[in-house]
Amino acid sequence: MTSSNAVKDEAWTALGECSAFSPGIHIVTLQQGSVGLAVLDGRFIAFFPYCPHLGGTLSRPEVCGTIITCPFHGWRFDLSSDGQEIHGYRPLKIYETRIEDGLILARIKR
Amino acid sequence: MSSMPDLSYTRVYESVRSMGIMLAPAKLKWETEVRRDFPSSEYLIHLSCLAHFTPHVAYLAQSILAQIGINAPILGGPEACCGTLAHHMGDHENFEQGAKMGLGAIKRSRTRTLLSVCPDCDESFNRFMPENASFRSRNVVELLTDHRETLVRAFKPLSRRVLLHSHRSNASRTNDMDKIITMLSMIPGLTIAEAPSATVADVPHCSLPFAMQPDRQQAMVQDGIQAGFDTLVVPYHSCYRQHCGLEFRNNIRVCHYLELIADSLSIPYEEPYKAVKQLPSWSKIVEFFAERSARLNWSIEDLERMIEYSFFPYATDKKHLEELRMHR
Repeated sequence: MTSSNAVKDEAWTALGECSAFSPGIHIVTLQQGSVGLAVLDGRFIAFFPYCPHLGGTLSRPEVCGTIITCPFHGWRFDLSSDGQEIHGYRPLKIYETRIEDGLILARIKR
Repeated sequence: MSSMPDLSYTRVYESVRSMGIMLAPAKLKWETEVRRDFPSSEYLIHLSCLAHFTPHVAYLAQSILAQIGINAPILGGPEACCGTLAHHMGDHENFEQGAKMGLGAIKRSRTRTLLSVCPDCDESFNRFMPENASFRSRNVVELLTDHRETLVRAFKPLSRRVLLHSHRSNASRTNDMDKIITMLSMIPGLTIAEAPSATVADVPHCSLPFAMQPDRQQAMVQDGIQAGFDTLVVPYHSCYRQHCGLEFRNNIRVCHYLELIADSLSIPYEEPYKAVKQLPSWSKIVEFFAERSARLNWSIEDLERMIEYSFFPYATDKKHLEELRMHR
């Protein structure tokens, strides 16, 4: 999905209309790169869309609750716990999100 | 561990990770990542995904090489997957990306030779190996054969009549088989015959998608016993997983070819998988792993989930699982 890339301020980036995202995992393509967006139990969680292990794309992870599994080597990240890897490996980078005027915004730090 | 979902990649990787930890010999160590301080070495052993069910194979490869002065660290864990898992699942996009990421990690290790124990890894890595690669991938038996003159001086006699379970589905597997026969033929006291190739073209070994049917397994062993063989030797860990249980229903030992080489070199090792496979009930399996599990601070629920994933992977639902448990 490609967003309008509207920037509300210097730190926050709009990923798109909340209503445009169905439950599951999405990859939003922005000018400055891609952002992962999980819609889980009505929550929006934005994340860096590449596994911190070897950089595998997290566009099609397996999802169980708030835990996503990288399909390449099985690292598992709890999106509700700051992206912690459940075996103790490096965490997935999670971006702060907020909703404003029906838009989902993420504070993206590369 | 935490709760594990009923999903395929997750199931396989968690069982690989768990079984590797549970079944590995105490002395067997492997790295799961190539970090900056990764030991630079001419040779690197690749401990592939399902080889974690039989980690003694990698242990024996490393120990045998050590006997001839070759140090080879091990890269393992599900983190070392060659991509074949995705291939078997029909996920070709992830197959290629996974294989290439694996090759990239191996390149960063600065090794010159990747030593494989798995035919799937051989096929996967060689398929995606770049032309200008800084290393090459070989099955470990090739390196052993290179050093056979050194090894033969250390071989002690073994009095066994060996039926070799065979895979000659393509040139690579045929090369492996020829070299395994070369190595075993150098052990004094062994009589060796090769069983008919177990698989058809392009099926490299007895892995889950290409398993030998039980009646064919039994026929292979019975033919061997009637011909006077006392040992069934397999070339790959996957064949070992499938056939090792035949030992308990037939008067024949089933072993990996590296076990025979290790026996001839008086290298001690443990192999618990065969014993686990023969346990008669769910409770016995839980009991077997209980102490190891407790050392890892796993809950009984974690342990039972690991057993389910590792030994009952085809349970479709709880009712089916209970039936499998009861009839085990």
